[in-house]
Amino acid sequence: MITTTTSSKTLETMVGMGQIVSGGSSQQMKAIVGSCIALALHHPRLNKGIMAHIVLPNSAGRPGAPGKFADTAIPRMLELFKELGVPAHGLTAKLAGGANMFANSGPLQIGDANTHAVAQALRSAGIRIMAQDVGGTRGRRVTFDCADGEMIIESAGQPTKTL
Amino acid sequence: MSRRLLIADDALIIRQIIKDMANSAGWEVVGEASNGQEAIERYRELHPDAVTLDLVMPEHDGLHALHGIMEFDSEAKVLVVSALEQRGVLKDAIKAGAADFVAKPFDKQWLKTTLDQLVPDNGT
Amino acid sequence: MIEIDTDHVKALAGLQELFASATHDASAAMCRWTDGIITVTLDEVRQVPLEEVGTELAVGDEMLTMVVMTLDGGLGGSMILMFDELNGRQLAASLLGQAVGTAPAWSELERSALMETGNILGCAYVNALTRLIGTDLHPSAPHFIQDFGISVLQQALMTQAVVSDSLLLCEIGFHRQGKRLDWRVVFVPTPELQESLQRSLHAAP
Repeated sequence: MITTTTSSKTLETMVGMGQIVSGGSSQQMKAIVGSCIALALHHPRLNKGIMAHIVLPNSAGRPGAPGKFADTAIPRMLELFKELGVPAHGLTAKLAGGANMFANSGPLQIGDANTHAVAQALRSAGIRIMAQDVGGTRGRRVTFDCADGEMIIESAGQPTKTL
Repeated sequence: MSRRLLIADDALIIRQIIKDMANSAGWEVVGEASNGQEAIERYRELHPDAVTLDLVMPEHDGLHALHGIMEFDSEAKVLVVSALEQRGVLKDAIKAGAADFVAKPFDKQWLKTTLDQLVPDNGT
Repeated sequence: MIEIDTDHVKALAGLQELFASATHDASAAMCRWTDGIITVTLDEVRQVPLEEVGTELAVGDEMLTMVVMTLDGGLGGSMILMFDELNGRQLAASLLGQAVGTAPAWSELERSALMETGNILGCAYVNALTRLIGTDLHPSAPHFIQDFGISVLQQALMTQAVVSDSLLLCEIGFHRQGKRLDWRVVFVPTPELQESLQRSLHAAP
């Protein structure tokens, strides 16, 4: 895992595929997503955040890093939050990604499948989606700030979005 | 009268290279197509003396085009020009009526010679 | 402590040999396409942990110019040819016999030059692998994409990621008159294609 310190002494951590990273108010998480989903949960009062880089919709009971699958990532994020003293209620979710970067002839439109699976898993966990930027055909560079729960999305040829 | 050529390839650079070679060899390039369905439609519209046909194209591929062209004109002179050299695909192309095959990346002189053999220049 | 799985090491070594042979053919095709200027060599066939793909391939945060070809059907995979902007433009210019483009948007001809390079390279690999496994493979037409490199790689890695947290990648390098170029190709076979390649390695000659 790569963590760097920015000029404002904020710790910035790159969240690779299948990883989950949590942090407090001096931390930012970053991910580059195409068909994957960058899912961030934030507790607004405690200013703690956690981000998962979700790769696939459903584990179907398969072993693997919990952050890799939508159905295992969210329960694992809540477990990690619990260990940090962050309750499961009052959380907000923001997500970005789920693009289809190039057409292929298979039935697996993985970007869409990931988006739906994450939405479903959040619904099952009773977590509200506050904002999202999903779909399309472009990659996204996602920066999530644990201090205020803001998610900044940069995409080629598009204005920067703030969720 | 010049021999008339239709060029079917999704790559603009290839269409350009073939067009330049063909023009300098006395052919008239009467049309271009960038996918298999367009190749069929243009053939029907233009009745060229020969076609150069790529195999790997988006939407409808070269084999689709070949079947469509041969169905319309069983005497069509189709030269497959492709980077794909799989035995199975080439057999299918010959069976479907392709007259010959030139592999990409091609030598321009070799392409010219092969086209000339398909449709000799009668010098009229 | 990483335990070494000898069978796995042998399997990787076998694939390395197989791709080296296919790369030889691909190099010949690239050489003809570029009038003898560019050749191709196999860097490595290796397993990379899912979460480290971006850093291992050093494509994490940059916008790249890429040509993507997929193999459709049961024996599938993706091939991604990657350049930074300058290297991509230089290749296009040299193929078109013109000055390096400086307009913000690539012209249709420049894009076409790069896509056809991907097509010729990709088909050279397809032809070689088909001869080795005895089954036709079905390449797509190339796609031209300018985006974050890792965002494109993610989709290519999906079918492997379903079954494994460790991904098999085949990395290929380019050379101009002996000097290494900053272009890369990553070939990502699906698990089914990997299996087929492994079977062909063990088949009697």
